Amino acid sequence: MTERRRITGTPKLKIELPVPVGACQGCQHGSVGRIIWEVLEELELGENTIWIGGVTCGTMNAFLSDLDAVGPVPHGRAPDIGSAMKRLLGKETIIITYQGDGDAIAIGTESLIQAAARAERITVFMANNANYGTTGGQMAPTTLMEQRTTTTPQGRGMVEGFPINTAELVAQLRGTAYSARGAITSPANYQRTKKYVKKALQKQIDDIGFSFVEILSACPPNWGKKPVDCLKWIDDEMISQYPLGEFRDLESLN
Amino acid sequence: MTAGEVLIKEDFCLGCGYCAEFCPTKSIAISPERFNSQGHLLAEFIHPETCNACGICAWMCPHFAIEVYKVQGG
Repeated sequence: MTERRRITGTPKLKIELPVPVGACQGCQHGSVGRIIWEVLEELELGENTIWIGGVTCGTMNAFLSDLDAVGPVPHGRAPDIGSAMKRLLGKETIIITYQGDGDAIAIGTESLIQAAARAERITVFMANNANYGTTGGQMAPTTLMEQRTTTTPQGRGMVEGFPINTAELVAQLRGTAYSARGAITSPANYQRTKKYVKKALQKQIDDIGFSFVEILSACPPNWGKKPVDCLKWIDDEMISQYPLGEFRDLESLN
Repeated sequence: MTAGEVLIKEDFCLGCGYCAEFCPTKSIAISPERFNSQGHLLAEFIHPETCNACGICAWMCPHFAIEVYKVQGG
């Protein structure tokens, strides 16, 4: 007798996929979304989660699943809208925001930092692809030194200044319960990032404080590389400037 | 007998090659000649006999194009 058992595949929360696919070849926004969906599925939070999509390519993720979702919300203000929803709906509702680097740390820096300082019980996921992917690959605050973009054709130098390490920055604030940075460049990193995402959501469920996970993700068309070379570039160049790991992990804020 | 089965949803595959790169048994490869409706080269399940249904291809696929099954008996 033949037994056929499903090992893995599309997360169960996900019900509808558009054809043609909205993503570029090799774009890892789908993988970041996949990790979040898998964790929500494991923690059985599908019923009472609200997904807030910032202005980013990855906002398409918000409407592919059967989670409640809003987005794109005003540029950079996803943590503010999340804070308001959390305060109105109470702690049974899980609020997650999905933002890009341009959304979270360029136009929305003040919202992100103030939400962390107020110890809002929300979880912010930031996909860091080192440029403004949606608008065509301009320099972002997270662009690496010497990296070429459409607005820094000679490479980022001292005219533009240094990049911002968001996970370390958020980890400095007293309201932050959890801050980590992951990547999806290998199966091992995938599982490690999934562990970070799970821990971050657990901080919100336990009502401890603000939680933040930054995920390095590939943007092959704007980096001008083949998808597989992009993962190697993240491993070789990006992780040395944006080290992976947990920067803050508190059981209680007091 | 235990074997893995990888289903590739061809409409969603954009041929990025992450599955072929990370498959530990090299059971998946990007086809040199087959295209889907969007004009991308497709990933193909070329060696069903070596697949052990670890699921890594589905984890790494950013476009939700892969389902992995384990088939026992038969």
